[in-house]
Amino acid sequence: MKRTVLPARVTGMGCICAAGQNLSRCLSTLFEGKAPNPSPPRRFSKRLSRRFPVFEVPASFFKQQFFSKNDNISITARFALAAVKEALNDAGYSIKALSSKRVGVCVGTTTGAALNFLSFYHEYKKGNHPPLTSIKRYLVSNPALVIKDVFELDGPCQTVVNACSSATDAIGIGLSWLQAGLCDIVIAGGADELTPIAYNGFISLMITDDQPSKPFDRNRKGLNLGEGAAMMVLEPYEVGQSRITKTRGYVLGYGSSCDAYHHTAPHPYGVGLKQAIVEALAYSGKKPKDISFINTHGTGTLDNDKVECYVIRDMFPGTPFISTKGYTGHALGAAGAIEAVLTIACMELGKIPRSAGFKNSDPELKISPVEEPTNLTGKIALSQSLAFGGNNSVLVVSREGL
Amino acid sequence: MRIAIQGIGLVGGFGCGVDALVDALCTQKVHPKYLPVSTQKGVVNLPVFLADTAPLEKFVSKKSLRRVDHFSQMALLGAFLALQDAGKIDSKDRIGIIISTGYGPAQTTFSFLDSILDYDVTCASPTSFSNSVHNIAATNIAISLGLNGPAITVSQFDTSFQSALITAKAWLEEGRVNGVLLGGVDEYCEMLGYCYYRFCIENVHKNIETIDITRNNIPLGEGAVFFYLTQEKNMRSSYAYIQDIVVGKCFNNKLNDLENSIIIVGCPSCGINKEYDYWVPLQDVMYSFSHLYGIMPVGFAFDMAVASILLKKRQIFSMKHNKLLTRIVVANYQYDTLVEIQSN
Repeated sequence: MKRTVLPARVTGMGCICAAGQNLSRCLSTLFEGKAPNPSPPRRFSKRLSRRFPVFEVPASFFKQQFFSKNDNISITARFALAAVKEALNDAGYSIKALSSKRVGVCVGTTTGAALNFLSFYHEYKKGNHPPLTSIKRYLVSNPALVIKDVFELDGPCQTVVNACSSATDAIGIGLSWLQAGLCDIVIAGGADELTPIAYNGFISLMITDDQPSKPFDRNRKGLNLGEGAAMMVLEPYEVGQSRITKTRGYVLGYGSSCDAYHHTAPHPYGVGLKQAIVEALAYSGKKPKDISFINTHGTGTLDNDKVECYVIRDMFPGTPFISTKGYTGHALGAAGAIEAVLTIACMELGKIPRSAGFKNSDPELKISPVEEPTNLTGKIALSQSLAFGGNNSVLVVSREGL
Repeated sequence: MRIAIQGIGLVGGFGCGVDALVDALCTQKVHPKYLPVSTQKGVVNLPVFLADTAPLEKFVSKKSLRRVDHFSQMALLGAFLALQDAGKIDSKDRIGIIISTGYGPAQTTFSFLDSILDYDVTCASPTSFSNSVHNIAATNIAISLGLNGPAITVSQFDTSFQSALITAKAWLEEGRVNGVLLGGVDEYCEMLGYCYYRFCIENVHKNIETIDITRNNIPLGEGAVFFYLTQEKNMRSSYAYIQDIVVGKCFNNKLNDLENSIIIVGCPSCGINKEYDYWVPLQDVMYSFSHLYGIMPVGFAFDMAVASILLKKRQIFSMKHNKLLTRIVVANYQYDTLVEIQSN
């Protein structure tokens, strides 16, 4: 298949989620086989319809860090800044070094751009006129804008709100920006925090598991929400070799398609997902046989896992696949970035972890995720996201360039 | 590569469609509704330009709109009108959707909060929740029009539309899509009116300095604007071409080169005119039309629609500029972004 775009170099990565306060800790969690134990939310305990487990990021992971001159920023913004800081350190960039470059920011989120003023609104409904603190926090916490502001960046800036595929789309858009020559560097990823609104909303949809989630398992009952952020520093493939001291991986291609079928359920035969995969492979100049493993969306809901298995059986028979949501929970707008970063990091290590939460094969799915840490035989992988609205977004990532 | 504007679809306080906006440009009058907001000083009636989506029934049956909220209805109407305005579309297979919004589906979001606050949390409405996600309008457009291409939504207050435009251009340049339905949508709700009152009226003790824009006299607005965009090489534009999109440090350089050009400057939905002194020398070539559609985060999209219409008609509706109009710069001075649009 003919390559249609140049890959982007991933020169730095950062990640914070329930699995760890940085990427290195997250990888330790994945390969030590000790998934965090999800529990009902502690940060917000009022207005919980039922006590479902979530993968909450402990405050100790992010509380002590310096983020911004403005203390009144959201937890989503704190996650985002922590992951960017780690990614830039990893890439060897200081704020000063970035000042002479066109640096774009593209970040996916859901709750980070939502009108989550539950307490403020409650007071207003009671006839009170509360302080504007929470509104001001919302106005200074838009993930892409806060990164642009704190790191004093001068390039395009975009907050993508595409439900659960937001971060995968953000990374794909970053690739397009580099391709178009709009930027020297793109910081791309996703960030999201748990909120009582999303928590109650997902419970109302009856797609949450009251036990730790079990992606692809016969007894799966739904997802556990999670939170966190992951970011990549993307640079053009043909950047001057003198600058690049290391390249952790490559984003080879991105594909995205809308099912145009249902507001919340995926197309039962994965029509949109297949189209997104075909597009991502075409942009990468790769074929299905080149894919060494697939980091699935793997939420643990009945419909999602069924559709993903249908497509894997059809397009990638025999290819190993995993879900990392048993370690991180479903971090919504951050999920695609957390998974893409973990996918590249796994390729660096040459192995993938067991799919946490999976125990029993589901005869209806006909295939199962890897049950033990598995060495990789190839150097190219897929990281895919499915979302409300019928969005399907896929990244082809690699350990090696062209 | 220049981007060709093939079709425009609009709905706002001025009415529905390009002709309605042209009428407003001619008469310079649009009448707001007055909506009550409960404040510390009692009930205040805020002027708001509201959008009427009744014409959507020409495109979609009333029955299928039953569960579609006002935010999505505005977006649907804008999208249908833009494609209708563009005329024949060769193939729907490779059309992308990019929607920008400052606040997303605000009314539905607060309806979901109502369902949590007014009843037991176990009664939280799943329908309101699934309709409160920001990308609900893109979903409804994709389903109604049968579009399977990439569909994304962008939300970052006043820079949402400009940012979305950058990605639309990148997608067209790399050939990811043959056409992009690029929209800006924002809706009014009481909570936004209340916050606007608290931030911009209650706490402002003196008039904010402005140029032509007396922001205190411009109502809040809501509405949708959609553009159907293609590469120039694929189709000649029936309106105008997007020549350049500038963000950041290059902004001021671009403004120093305004020969045969005018600037359209909108009214920011929050904040004040921080660069007042800088803009004074440009007054002679500067226009604002926010008084026709109101203050809202995606006002820039309406400014760009006005620019496209003016270039098509080669006409300025208030006559201080007499030169032949071939180029318009649409600028957002709060965030150092501008779009340069050229006539055919």
